[in-house]
Amino acid sequence: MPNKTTRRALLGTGLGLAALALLPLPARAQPEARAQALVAQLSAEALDLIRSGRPESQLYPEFERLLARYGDMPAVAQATLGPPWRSASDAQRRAYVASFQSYLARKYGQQFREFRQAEITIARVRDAGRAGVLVETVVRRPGQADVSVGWQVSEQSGAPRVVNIIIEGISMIATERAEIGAMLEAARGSIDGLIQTLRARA
Amino acid sequence: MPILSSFRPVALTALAAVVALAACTPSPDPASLDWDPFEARNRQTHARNVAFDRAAFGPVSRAYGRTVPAPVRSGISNFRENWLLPHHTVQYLLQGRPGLAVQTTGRFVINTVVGIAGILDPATPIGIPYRYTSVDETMHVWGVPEGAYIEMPLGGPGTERDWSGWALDFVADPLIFVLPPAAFNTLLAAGGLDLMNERYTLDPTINALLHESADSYTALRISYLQAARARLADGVDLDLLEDIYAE
Repeated sequence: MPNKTTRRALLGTGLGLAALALLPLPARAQPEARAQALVAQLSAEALDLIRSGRPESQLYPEFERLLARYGDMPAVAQATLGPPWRSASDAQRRAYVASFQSYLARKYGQQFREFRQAEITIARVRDAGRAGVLVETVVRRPGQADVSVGWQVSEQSGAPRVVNIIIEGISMIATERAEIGAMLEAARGSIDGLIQTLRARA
Repeated sequence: MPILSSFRPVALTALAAVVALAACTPSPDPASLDWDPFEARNRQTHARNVAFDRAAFGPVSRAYGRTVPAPVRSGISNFRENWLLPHHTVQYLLQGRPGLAVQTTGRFVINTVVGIAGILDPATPIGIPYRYTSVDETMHVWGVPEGAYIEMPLGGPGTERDWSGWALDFVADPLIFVLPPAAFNTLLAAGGLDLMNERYTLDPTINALLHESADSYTALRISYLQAARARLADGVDLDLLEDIYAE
């Protein structure tokens, strides 16, 4: 993977005085501009949060609020569960979405904490048709390899919302679909069992 | 290198077995993340690899990362990557990408001369970043399918094409013919240290993947295949993005 050693690291200063820098992109179609603005705002807020020095007990609930505000969590939860969604009752669906969201906030919040010293730059914004818009960002950290993080933004819910995160080409939905599937299998296909598992991990 | 490259080969013993795999089985669907004809054996290997990571590779890498200062670790990584560049240049020529071959040569000259044998990386700030390539990518460019997924003892995830390429990467490295054995061993040692550095810098990600997943075998396979394909495509293939609202 692309190296790594930023100038900053070479100078030996570990000072992670990071800023959110937006590349000047040419004027774009409206959905693309809205998606870009959403991701810029979300990544700035997320960086503020992880740098705020809050204890974990507050960090993950705050991170979950961010996910709920910027992402379409019910749609993500449903897409991740797949066919079993259809046979779930309304109460199960609500409980599943809530527990999935907390589970996701902790899992990805933990990963995101590694970006404390990072600088997130928007590199490219591409229209993906019905799938939405892919906003590709580069996460740069002193002395470490760059990480590419793509944010898939869709307006099918009526407003621009993040519906998937793609880290180094790895789709969160694809990964979580397999994970949720494994948890459901371990719970012998019981949605209530799955919800318990998710709660225990949140 | 892939995000999971910490799991790259450390076992030269696997080499002979790997060469035999050179004929890759074509997947029924090249975009599939689930096609896994060797799953049963892979899972056994995976269990041992996870145990090894938990007991040895993880702890040793964390100790290394916490003991050795970051600039030293970066210097070793830079040095290691710099001396992969002649190999990369050959591969870019075989891939029919003379532009990348020239760029790679330029990077090699700048970092070897100005960057003190490649310990520093003055080429990146002037716009010639490192780009990993391999015999695997060359075969990909030539149209060889990636083949089935294989998890190697100590080596971690790969595909039939990837592992065959890995074996060929050793003989395709021009340095092996030029450098005295002592110098080549230094490069191998730097590669080993760099592997620990990568394991250390990716520690939270790898721990989540290998030690906290509900099904770490599948999580690793899915992650590896997607990351490897995105790397070869130089980014995310928009056609693979799903419309999550479609039933």
